[in-house]
Amino acid sequence: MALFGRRKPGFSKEVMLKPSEIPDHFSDALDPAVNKELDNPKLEKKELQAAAAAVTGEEKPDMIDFMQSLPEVEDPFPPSEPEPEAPPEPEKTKAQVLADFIRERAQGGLITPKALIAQDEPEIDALLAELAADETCKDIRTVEGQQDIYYYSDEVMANNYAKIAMLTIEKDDARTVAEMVRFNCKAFPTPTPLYYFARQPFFLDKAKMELIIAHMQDDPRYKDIRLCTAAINGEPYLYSIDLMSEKYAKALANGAECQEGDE
Amino acid sequence: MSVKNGINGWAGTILRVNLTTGAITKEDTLPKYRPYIGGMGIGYKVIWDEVPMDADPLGPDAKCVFGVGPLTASGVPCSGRMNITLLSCWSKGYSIVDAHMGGHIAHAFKYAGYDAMIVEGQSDKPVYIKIEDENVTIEDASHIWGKGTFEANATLSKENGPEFDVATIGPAGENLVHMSTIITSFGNSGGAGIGALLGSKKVKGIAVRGTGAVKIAEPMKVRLLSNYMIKDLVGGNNNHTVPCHAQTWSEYVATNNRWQGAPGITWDKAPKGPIDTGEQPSGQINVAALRCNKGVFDFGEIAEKYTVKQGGCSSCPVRCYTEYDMDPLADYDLPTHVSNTCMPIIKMLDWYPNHKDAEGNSVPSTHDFVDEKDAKMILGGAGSRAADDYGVWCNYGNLYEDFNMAYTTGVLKDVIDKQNPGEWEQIPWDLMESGDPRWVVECYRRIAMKEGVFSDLGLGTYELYQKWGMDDASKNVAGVNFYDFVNGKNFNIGHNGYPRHHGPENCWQAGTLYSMMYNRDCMIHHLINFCSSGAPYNEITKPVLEHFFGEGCTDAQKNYTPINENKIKLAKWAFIGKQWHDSATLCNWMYPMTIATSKKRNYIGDLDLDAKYMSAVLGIEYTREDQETDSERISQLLRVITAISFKLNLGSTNLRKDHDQVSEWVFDKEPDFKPFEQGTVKLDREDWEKSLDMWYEAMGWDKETGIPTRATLEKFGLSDCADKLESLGLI
Repeated sequence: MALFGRRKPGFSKEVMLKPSEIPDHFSDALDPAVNKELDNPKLEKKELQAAAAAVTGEEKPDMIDFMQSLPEVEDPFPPSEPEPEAPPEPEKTKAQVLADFIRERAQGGLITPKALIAQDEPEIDALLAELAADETCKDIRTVEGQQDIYYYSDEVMANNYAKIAMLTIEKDDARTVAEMVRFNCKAFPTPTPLYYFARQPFFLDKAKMELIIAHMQDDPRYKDIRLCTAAINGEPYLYSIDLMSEKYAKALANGAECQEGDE
Repeated sequence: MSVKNGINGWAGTILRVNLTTGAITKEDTLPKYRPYIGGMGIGYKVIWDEVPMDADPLGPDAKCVFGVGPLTASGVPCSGRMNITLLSCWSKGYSIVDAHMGGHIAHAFKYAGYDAMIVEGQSDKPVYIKIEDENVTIEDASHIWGKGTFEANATLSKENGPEFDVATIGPAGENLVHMSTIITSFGNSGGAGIGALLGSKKVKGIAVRGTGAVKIAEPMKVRLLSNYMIKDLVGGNNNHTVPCHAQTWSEYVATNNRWQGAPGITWDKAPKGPIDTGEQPSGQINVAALRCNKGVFDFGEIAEKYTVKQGGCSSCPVRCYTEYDMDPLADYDLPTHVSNTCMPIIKMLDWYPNHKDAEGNSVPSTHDFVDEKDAKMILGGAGSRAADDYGVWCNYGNLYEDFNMAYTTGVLKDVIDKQNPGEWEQIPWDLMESGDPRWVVECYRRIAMKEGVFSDLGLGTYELYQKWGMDDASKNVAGVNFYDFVNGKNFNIGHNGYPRHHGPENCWQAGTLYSMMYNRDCMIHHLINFCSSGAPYNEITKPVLEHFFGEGCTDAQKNYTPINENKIKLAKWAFIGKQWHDSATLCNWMYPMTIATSKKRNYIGDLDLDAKYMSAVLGIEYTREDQETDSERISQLLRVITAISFKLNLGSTNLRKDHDQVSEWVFDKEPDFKPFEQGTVKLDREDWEKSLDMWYEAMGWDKETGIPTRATLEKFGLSDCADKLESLGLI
C-alpha cells in the first residue's frame, strides 16, 4: 500500500519559505536531488562546498570553526547545584574482567570451559572463588559436564541452552540425545524426532543418529531410550519408556507428523 | 472521518451502496452500533435488522456487510483484518456466516473514513465499487468480468492508481459457485461463499483509497503497548512462543512448530541475496518478522530455496505469508510467484490420491520434482495460486477432503458415470496420476466454471453430500455416511457442512464445543495457539492457563480428561473472544496474548491487553469485563440468528439436536484406545452430553434446545431478539 500523497488537505499545514529564510542546516543547497552538480560521487568535499557556495552565493565556513566563533551563552537550564565531579571508575578486578569475557562469549553462543580460563591463570580456583563472591558477577553461572565445568552468563544465555551447549562440547552424543529425549518426555511431554538433532546446535545427521542409537541400545545407561515411528510416514522418534508409554509416544509422533489440526 | 469529527477509534460513518437504485448513502456508526463494536458486530446487527432470515442468500434481498473496527488501523499490531458478514448459501440452515480477509484493504477502508459498507440490491451489469475517501462510485466492470482475480486486481490498480487497495472475485464467484472467495493483496482471501454473493449482485470487487487517519486518544500509550506486546508477549506465527531451533536466549526448544526462524534458516531468493533469519530474542522488536518462515514449517528446509520473503498484512509484525518463487512450476507453464499461509497451499496432496495402475495395484500419484519430498510444496504452489485466481474457497480443506474421500471410495466415479456418462473419460486423470501440477489447476477450473458433475464439489459439503448421497450410507456405493465415518482423517465436525478447525483433534471438549457454534468452521485460535506454541505443557502451558482459568482448565495433547467447570470457562472465553477479534478487528491467529515469550514474566501473557488498547484508542476506561460483555452480546446474536434460520429454513426448533450434533467419528476414531486414555483425542459420548449441558448453562441457553432464554437476551439488551424467538415458538 503506497503512503505517498496520503495526506489530504487540512491534515498538515504547509508553509512556503523563501530560500533566504531557510536555516543553513535545512538548506537543500547541498542536496544532490536539488543541485545536480552535487550528484557526483567523485566530487571532493571542497568541491562540494564550492558548489554549495555557488548556489547560496556565500562561502560556507567550516563547521568546527563556525561553532568556535560563536559567543559563549548562558545555559538556560543550569543545574541547581554544581555537578560533583564523577569519581573515576574503579579499575575492574581480575574476576570482573573474567566475567566480561564470559559474557562476551555467551553473547556469541559459547560457554566457557574452566580449562580455557586456567590456561592463562595459575591461581584459577582463587579467581573463580572471587568471581562467585562478587555481587556484580551474580549472572555468571555454571553447568557441570563430565569433562569440565563451564561458565556462562544467564543474562544472555538461557540455562537450558547452556546445558545443551555443554553436552555438544563434550561430544558425548549418546548422552546428549538421551538427556534431550528425557527432558522432552518430561517437560512437554513429547517424543523427539530424529530430525530435531539435525538442527543447531547438535548437527547430528541421519547417519550419525543411526550410530548413536545403535550405541545407546548396547549401553545400560540408556536402556530407557526407545525408538518408535510415526504411522503416517515412518518418521522415527525417540522417547524414554520410563517417562512415556510406547502407545502414547507413537500417538504423539503420528499426530506431530500429520500436523494434526495444526494447519 | 474520525479525525475531523472528533471520534476516537471509529471512523464514524457507515456506507450503504444500493446496486438496484445506484444510491450511495451514509449513516453514522454511533451511537447505534456502539454495543456491537464494529466488524462482525456491525454486520450481525445489520443483517438482523434488515435481512429476512429466510431470504435467498444469493437473491435480491440478500446483503453483505464489509466491516472494520475501532482498533483497525489505530496503530495496534495485527489489526489489518476486514470482516464480511453474509447469509450462507452453502451450510445447513443457510444462516449467518463471516468471511475475513487480511492484506491492506482494511486499513485503506478505515483511512477512507468508513467503519462498514452495506452492499444491497443487485446490479444488472458487472460493476465494481470505487471508494476514494468521501467519493464513492459504482463503476463499470465489464472489462474485467470473467478475468481471474490476479488480472482483475492488477487492472483495477493500473486504472485507478497504485495507491488503491483492491479486492475482486474470480470466475467462481461470477458463476455463483458456493465455494468462492474474494481475493486481495497477494493471496489474502475472504471465503464463506462471499464470491457467490457478490457475483449474484454482479459486483466484481472493490477499490479503496484512503488518505485520512484514525483519531487515537492516547497515541503514545498505543505505541508503548505495542512495543510491550512485540517485545515481551508475541511470538511467531499463530503466536508460537518457543523457537524450534535452539536459540541462546531461549530456555526451551520446540520439537516442531511455526517459529522456524534461526541462524542458518534463510530466505534464499531475497532480492539482494539470501537473508539469514538469525536469532530473534524475546525483548527485541525488530526481529519479530524473522520468526515465522511458514514455508519451512509446511515443507521443510527445502522451502528456503524458493522463499523470497515473508509477507503479511498492514500493521502486522509477524509476517505469516511466505512469498515464493517456485521455479519448477515454470516447466509446466504455470506462474512461479505464489503466496499463501494456509490450507490452499499445504493440503494439495489431497487432490492427488493414490490411483490404481494397470495391474490394479494402488500406487502413488505424486513424485519428487527437484528435491526429495518436494511434491507437497510444488503442488501446493500451483494449487494455491489457481484457487486464488479462480476465486475458489476450500471450506478449510473440506473441498479437497471431499474429493479425496469420494475418489478413493469410488463414489466420485459412480456418481459421474450415472449422472453424466462420458464425463469421467474426458477428465484428464493422467495429469493426476502423473503428479502434474496442472491437475490441481484443472480441478479448480472445472469447479469455477461449473463444468460437469465434477464441479458439484463447489456446492460445498452440505449440498454435495445430499446430491451425491454421501450423507446416507444406503445411498452411495461406499455404504458410509461421510459425515460420520472413521477414515483416520475425516474433517467434518458435524452434519452442517463444514469441518473442524482446531476442535476435538487438539482442544478437547472446549474446541469441540465452540466448533459447533457457527455456521462455518469456527476459525478460533485461542486454544490451538498455546497448544502448539512449543511451550512445554508441564512447565509453562498448564501453570499459565491455570493461573488464568483455574485448575484443570486445559489438557495436554492426546491426554484428555473429563469435562469440568474450568474447561467450560476456558471454552466460553475462546468462543466469545473470537467475536471480539472479528469486531475490533484483530487477527485471531495471533491474539490473545496468553503465553508470553518473556522468561521475566514467567511466560505469563496479558489477557487484558486488548482492553488496554481499547482504552488507549478510545480514551475511556474499557475493561476486559466490558470487552467480554460486548463480545457475548454479539455471540448471543449469532445464536439467535442461527435458531431463526433453522426454524424458517428447516423447520427446526431444536439447535441441540439439529445444529450441535457432532460427527460420530469424534467418538469412534482410534478404536485401539478408550476415551481419556493417553494417546487418543476421541471423546466420550456421555461426557459430551454433559459438556453440552454445562455449556448451555454457561451461555444462558435452554438445556433442551440450546436456544438463548429471554432472561439471557434481555441481559444484553436483546429483548427484540427474545420477542422474535417467542413469536416463532422457539422460546
